[in-house]
Amino acid sequence: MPHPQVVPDEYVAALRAYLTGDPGYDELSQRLADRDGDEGGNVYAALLGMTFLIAARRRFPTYTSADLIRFVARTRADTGPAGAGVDPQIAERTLRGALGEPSAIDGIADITRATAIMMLLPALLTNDGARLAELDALLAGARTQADRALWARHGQTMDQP
Amino acid sequence: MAVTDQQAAMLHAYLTGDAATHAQLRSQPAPADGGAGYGALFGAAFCVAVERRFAPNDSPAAVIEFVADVRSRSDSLASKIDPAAAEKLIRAVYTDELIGDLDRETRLLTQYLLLGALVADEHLDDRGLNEFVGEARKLADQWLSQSG
Repeated sequence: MPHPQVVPDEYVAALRAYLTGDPGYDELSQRLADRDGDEGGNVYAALLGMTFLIAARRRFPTYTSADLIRFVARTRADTGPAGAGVDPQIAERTLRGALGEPSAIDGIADITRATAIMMLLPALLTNDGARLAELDALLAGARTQADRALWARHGQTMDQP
Repeated sequence: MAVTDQQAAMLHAYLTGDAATHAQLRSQPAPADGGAGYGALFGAAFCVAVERRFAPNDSPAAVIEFVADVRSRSDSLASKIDPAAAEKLIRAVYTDELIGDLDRETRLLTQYLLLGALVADEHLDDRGLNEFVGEARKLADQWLSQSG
């Protein structure tokens, strides 16, 4: 079981495997899910969310609605049936949420948003021209942010009466 | 029952962006068919326009990118067109996609907005537009005759 406030190395490795198309990703993620359950899922979600936020802001330092619509459409078109099955408005709102419009994700279930992020994130990095070294730096930054977020979340829980 | 000249003129006015004529025709007394003729004509026009633009062997990506292109044209279109509904309505014309989960208002608004874009993209001259409306009218009349 991972410490609830710290992202373990294996989780960074799992996300890296997903983003690089490593065939070992499915086995690794399943092993971590079986071992760590919901608590691990929360930690992984924090890492995934922070990685998405950083990647989205790098890809879209400024944007118009049309930019986001076209990006989501291109990504869905390029990812076959899995991408076509993602609701485009959910994907656009998820992207807006990462770009500084927090109200955009109101009412979207965490699992639904995570599905959209898993589709969008590789495309954000591809379009960013990220090389492996850059990916590792990005993941390291995301991990630091996720650690802080987990600390903050844990602290809030402890402070409650 | 068949499509009337007035209903065909209304569709023509909508497709040319002639809002004054469209409004004037709409303000005339309701036809005896309760609007069924215009509804059939409108639906038929959407089918004709989709079939002109897409083929059954087109990839799903073609529809995704078309809908995104239309929504990218203005903030109004971006907010009014539900892309999932729009993609489904287009695919339903030439595949066995079901649209029973879409409410009537969403269906009509989405078809209305997509139809304008589909026809605008064809850059039809007067003759081409008249042929388009004629083709839609013929299909609508077939539907109306079959429905009794």
